[in-house]
Amino acid sequence: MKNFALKVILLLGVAAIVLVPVMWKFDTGYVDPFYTRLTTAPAPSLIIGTSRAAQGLQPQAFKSLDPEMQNFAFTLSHSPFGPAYLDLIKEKVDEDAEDGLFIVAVDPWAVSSLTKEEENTENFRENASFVSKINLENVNPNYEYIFRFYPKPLYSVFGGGKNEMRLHKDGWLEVNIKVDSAIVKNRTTRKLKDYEAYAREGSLSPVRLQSLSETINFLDKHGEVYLVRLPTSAEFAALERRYSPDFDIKMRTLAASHGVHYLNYINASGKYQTTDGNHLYKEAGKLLSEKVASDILHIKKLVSADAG
Amino acid sequence: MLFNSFEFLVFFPTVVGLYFLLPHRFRWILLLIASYTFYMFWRVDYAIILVISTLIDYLCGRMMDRYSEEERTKRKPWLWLSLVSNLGILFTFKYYNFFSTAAVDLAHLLGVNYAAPAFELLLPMGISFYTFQTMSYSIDVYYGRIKAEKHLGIFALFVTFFPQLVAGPIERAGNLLGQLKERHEFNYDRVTNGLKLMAWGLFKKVVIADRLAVMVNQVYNNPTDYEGIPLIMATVFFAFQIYCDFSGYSDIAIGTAQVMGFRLMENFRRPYFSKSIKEFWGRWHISLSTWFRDYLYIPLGGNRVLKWRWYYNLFVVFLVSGLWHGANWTFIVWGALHGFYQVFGNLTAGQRNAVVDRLGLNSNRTLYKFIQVVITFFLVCMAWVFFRANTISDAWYITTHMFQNIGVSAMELLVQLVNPRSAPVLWLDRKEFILSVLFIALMEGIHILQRGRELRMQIAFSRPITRWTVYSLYLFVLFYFGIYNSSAFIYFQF
Repeated sequence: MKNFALKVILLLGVAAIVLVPVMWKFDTGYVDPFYTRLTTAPAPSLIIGTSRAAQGLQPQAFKSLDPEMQNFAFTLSHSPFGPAYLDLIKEKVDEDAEDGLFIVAVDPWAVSSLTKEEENTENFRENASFVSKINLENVNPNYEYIFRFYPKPLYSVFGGGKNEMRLHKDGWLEVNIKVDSAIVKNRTTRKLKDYEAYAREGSLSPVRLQSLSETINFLDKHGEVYLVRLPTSAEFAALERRYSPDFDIKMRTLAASHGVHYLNYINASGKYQTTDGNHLYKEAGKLLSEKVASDILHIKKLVSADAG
Repeated sequence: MLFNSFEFLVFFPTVVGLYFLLPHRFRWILLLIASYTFYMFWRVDYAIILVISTLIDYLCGRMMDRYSEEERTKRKPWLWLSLVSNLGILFTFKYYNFFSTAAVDLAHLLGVNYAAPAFELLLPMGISFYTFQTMSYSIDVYYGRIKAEKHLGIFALFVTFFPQLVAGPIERAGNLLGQLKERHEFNYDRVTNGLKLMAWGLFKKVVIADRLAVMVNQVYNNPTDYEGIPLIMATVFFAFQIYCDFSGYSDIAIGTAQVMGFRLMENFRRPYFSKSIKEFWGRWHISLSTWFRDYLYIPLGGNRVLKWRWYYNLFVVFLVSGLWHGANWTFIVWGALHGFYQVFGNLTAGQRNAVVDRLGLNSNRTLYKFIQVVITFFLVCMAWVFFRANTISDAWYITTHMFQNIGVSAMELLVQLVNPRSAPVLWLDRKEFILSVLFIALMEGIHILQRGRELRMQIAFSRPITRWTVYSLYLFVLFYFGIYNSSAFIYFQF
């Protein structure tokens, strides 16, 4: 038995050594757009949303408001508002936090069922992803994510990719792709095609809207919540207006019912550089993040002046 | 719970650790709880079917045991109760919708207005495996081959023993029940042997089967997009995918049991080296084919009957075997094809031998064996088309288009293989395609090496440096080349 135990320990040691290069690659954030966010400790302040927020809102800009701010937004497929994302958020918020800052990025797609099948909650698109299945969200290294949810064989992390993406420790996903106008136009056309299909098939989901409301409720207990609608390209904004003309009214009403603020930047669409019409380019994201931070600071001052 | 899951990684060492720590008299309780836990990771409510099946067969066994061999007729009602309830459960969950739809279609065809209700029932995982296992118990008690088990707990464990509960091997009471009562001490050689078998099974599943699944699924879910080589490659890949998936599961199951001291029956014996379809069925899913042999083929009369009746028996057995795999015409055709192979093989054995002699094909034994293996593999693959295809019309399309435009599609494949900037090769990227072929070759190479002596024994007796190099390499391949975001084992659905 003793001999066996020794050999098991030795084997585990070999396994750990074999895995060191992979862990190092994952830890440097070059290989995967999600992993790092699932390895950090629970945070007192979070950015919540889909890939628009993941790329467009940089925690660095909110340093003066909360230096521990983490971006915990994923993608439209992984983290639309719903019961699964809310459960994940609950695990990521520092349970002792009382005066955190929570930026909840909203848009019509993030509260929509994108297909007819998805109207049934059992078919919610995030059900098949790690968002609804992962058990460990705050451990480093996160072997569960690597072995259960990394979509490729691990050797591929050494494939010498173009490093178009880099996930920072604070959860911000930096995307380094060319933004020449012709390339962006092409990407926008392709992206619009996808979203036009969503607009044809999809609809705002009462369950997702309810989950958004529950998310605000939960976050409100741990600090201040701001609903934020990010700008896009003019074409995307137009599509969203056609798809859900009263979305802003809905969000304003929702924010008012929870006593939180709704910062709507959709009218600035077209003024910020995007990579594909949908996602802000990193420089534009920086400017927008600073703008959101300064608006929040302004609101805080007004509120404290009122209180004074 | 899946063997290739995170949960099992925690579950297995915990159960094994507790198993060896507990006194012998409590171990069955631990294993029974562990087995139900293992099953309920999938669905809690469906465990009730296991309970019902256990209680009915326990009762039937005990009642049959009250009568002596001479009073066998008095055992009959209890045997019927066992068979009807087991087959009833199986029919309700697995076959009802299939047969009711078939009946409605037939009625429409005959111009009769008939409608049958359809039930949306989820197929209980492993139902075909554990119902067959319990049925064999009842039949064996009926014929007096074994005594009925008196200990309800041990019997419940026989029905639910977690290593083989959801995908076999389908054990016989004569082999397993006795072992469940035996005391198993910790034995270093046995434990490490079991772990090595599990490791080999895991390699086949996550490195080969799940890698091949990507391409197989792409082609078989959109067959009309392809012709020629892609259809052939997808079919050959599927042959290895299903082998690695299912035999991988069996290896893990047998290894898991072995670690705790139990000997489960061998389920696969290098089936793709078979020289005939008959031999193939002696090497593929052995626990099922011997089940059908003992409980269907022999009761039907086996080969000790008139020739036409023998052929009928053979055909029926394979037809039922097809139906056992699933309530779909594709499985039935798959079974029928294998039945046809067997009948045709027996019918033409004399003529074929005469042709071989006349052509002198068997003058070179190795070449002759090679040709036999290739032909058998070809026939098996043609049948796999029906097994894997989503519909009969898909299967028909594949069989009628897989040999069309072979030259053009082969050229395309070659260009894609040699040009690093080319489009993906058959929906696997170039590296993945090459890796798939290499890993299949590695596995079959190991199979050849294992003909004399099992590789794990060879490793066990090698020098420590060699042994640890093999272990390190194995871990490297498993971690770096395994596909871990994948699915359940294919045979769970049966």
